[in-house]
Amino acid sequence: MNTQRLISTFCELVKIPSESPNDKEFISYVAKFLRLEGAKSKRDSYGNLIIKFPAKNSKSKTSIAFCCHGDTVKPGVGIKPIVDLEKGIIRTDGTTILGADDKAGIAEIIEMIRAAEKHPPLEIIITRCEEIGSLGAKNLDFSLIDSKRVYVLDMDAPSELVIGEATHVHMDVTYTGRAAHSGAEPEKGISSIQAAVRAIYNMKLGRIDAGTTANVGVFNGGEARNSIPETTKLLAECRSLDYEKAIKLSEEMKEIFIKASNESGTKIHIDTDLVSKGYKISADSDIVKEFAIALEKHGVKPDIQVIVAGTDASLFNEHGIPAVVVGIGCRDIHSKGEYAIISEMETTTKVLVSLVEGLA
Amino acid sequence: MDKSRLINTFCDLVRIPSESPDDKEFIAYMENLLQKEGAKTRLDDFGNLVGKIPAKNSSSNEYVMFCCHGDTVKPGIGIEPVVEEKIIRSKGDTILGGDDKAGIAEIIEMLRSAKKHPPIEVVITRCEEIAPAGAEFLDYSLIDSKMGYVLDMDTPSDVITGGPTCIFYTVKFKGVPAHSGVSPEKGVSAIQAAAYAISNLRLGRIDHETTANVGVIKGGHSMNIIPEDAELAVECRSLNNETALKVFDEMKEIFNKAAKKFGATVSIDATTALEAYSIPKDAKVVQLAVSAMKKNGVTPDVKGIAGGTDATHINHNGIQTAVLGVGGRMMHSTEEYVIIDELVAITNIITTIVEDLA
Repeated sequence: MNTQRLISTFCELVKIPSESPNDKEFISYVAKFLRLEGAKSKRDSYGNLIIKFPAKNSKSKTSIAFCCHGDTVKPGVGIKPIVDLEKGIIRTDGTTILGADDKAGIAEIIEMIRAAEKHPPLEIIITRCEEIGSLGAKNLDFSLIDSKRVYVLDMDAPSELVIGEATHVHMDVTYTGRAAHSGAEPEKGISSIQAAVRAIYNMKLGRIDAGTTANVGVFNGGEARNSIPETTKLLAECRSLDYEKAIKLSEEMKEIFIKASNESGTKIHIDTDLVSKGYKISADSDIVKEFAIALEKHGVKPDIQVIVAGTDASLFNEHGIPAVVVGIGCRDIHSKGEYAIISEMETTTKVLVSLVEGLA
Repeated sequence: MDKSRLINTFCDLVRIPSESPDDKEFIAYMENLLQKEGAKTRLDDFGNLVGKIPAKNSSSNEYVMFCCHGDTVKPGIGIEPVVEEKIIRSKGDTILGGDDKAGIAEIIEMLRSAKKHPPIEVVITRCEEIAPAGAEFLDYSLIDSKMGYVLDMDTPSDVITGGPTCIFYTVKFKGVPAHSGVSPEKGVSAIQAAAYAISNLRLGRIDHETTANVGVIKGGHSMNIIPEDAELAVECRSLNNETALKVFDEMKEIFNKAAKKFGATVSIDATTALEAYSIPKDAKVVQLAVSAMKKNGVTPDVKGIAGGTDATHINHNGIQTAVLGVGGRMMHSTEEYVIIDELVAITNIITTIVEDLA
């Protein structure tokens, strides 16, 4: 493992902008980069990248996969990574995100491939548009993938090992009332804002139980102070570690939205989207145990957890390919204060090397 | 009254852009134009224009005021008026600017064609469309008139004698953001606090002269964050000033209680407060307009309205002022047009008013 090379790969990657959905140029760059390392790359019709490395010093025919997403949140154009060796971190100049989420993972995979003395066949999957609802993973051509297990690199600290995720339902709600001048003839109007607040008033939000939450995250209604607001849009969600509960809660919320509309005389349109279907992998399974052993080998105590946020891992699990999520050494992601911890990037790389060498 | 001169004046005026607040160039043009009509002009500190025209064939020394606003809404740059047989419209990609330049053209034509008149003050205010700010900040010490007319309604029959107390305000709820799936208990939802408050408000028509509305809400940025901010554009209006203030207090209390209940904070900022006014129907300013309309074959429609105009501020500053029409339709849209017959009718009506006062 060459730390200097790891850092320079990382810096090179984050300098190429890839704000979702404008991540195609970046993905082409990674494809070219990895072809130089001797891989065959393929793009599916959505533009996700699948790269296959043959086994090295190994007779194993069982390939394993590593997955990162290629896109970043905004503001991610013109990133200037600053390597601060004194603090042991890589940060930005404060005007953009760093993009360590998820490019630290990509840099670590590249360094792992360069550093591992032996490994089984490997598949590297770079997905598009993860940050805007795992669109890449949702549209991934799973027939291109041979591996029976996937490590998704997308958590913060190297110790994090995610073996389960919540089911997550989004609701996009539109109330349509009737506009009228609010001072001259308010009785001719129907306020869509009033309909929406009636629903929210009757809804239990926040923490519902230990594994279940609900939120109305966005509420935009009306266009002018002096007009009865005709249109109101809400974005709501619910999540639960228990699939049945999540579905039941989303249906209850939907009923409350509709009831408020009926009682207010507005029209309503609801788009419901099952963003991710939850999964739970046994802590005793090979995919978990072997990674935990690799972590411990490098002095990291595994922090096995179940999370509520949807990652690309839920899509692999949904398609029958067990996947877990592991850390990459970044902090304060999705902010201009985002930074990567060099020692943690080294650790993750070493853990990956031990993992693939162990499977060779 | 020279119809084609009136139309030409109007077309010249609308070609000069004056989207509020960028209306100073237009005011400068008007200053020049009024001076050519024999006016002495002054600009007040806010940039409002006051032009004084001496009496003509009259020994009256009592001023009468005519007021229009000089600004327009957007899109008002590059207006190309199209004169058709009965109407004047824009080419379709801008407003026309008949609101309020039709009124200005009518006043100019009145000055040119009246055979006699008392001393006249022409006031062109700035930024009516965004507050009405110009009339609020007008230097009333520059004005000698005790009565006047604002030209800013639609049809020649309009005589507006009253307007409501309007309290326009912004309510900002501030909660605490948190990831909605990971740690919702750490967050305070500004949307929930706002929704709770709005649920408890009396909205719409409250009584025959009082209304309230939450017209706009913008809350939260992301589905997966407990929303930190919710901002509401709210108003209440009443022809009865005390009722409006009472409703405003009641609303404020509901907003404050809701914030407290959810652990959010709330700030309430009144952006505009117009106080109701009402002119008696037998006041001279009303009767003169009614009589001038009848002389010109127009049936007057004397009424109060639910909105504020420059006349609200002007009346509160001791100048009894009614609002008349300008002959425009579909204002504040790219479909806006003026009706040529109505431009003529209104010019004739205000000419009759000043001749009757001479």
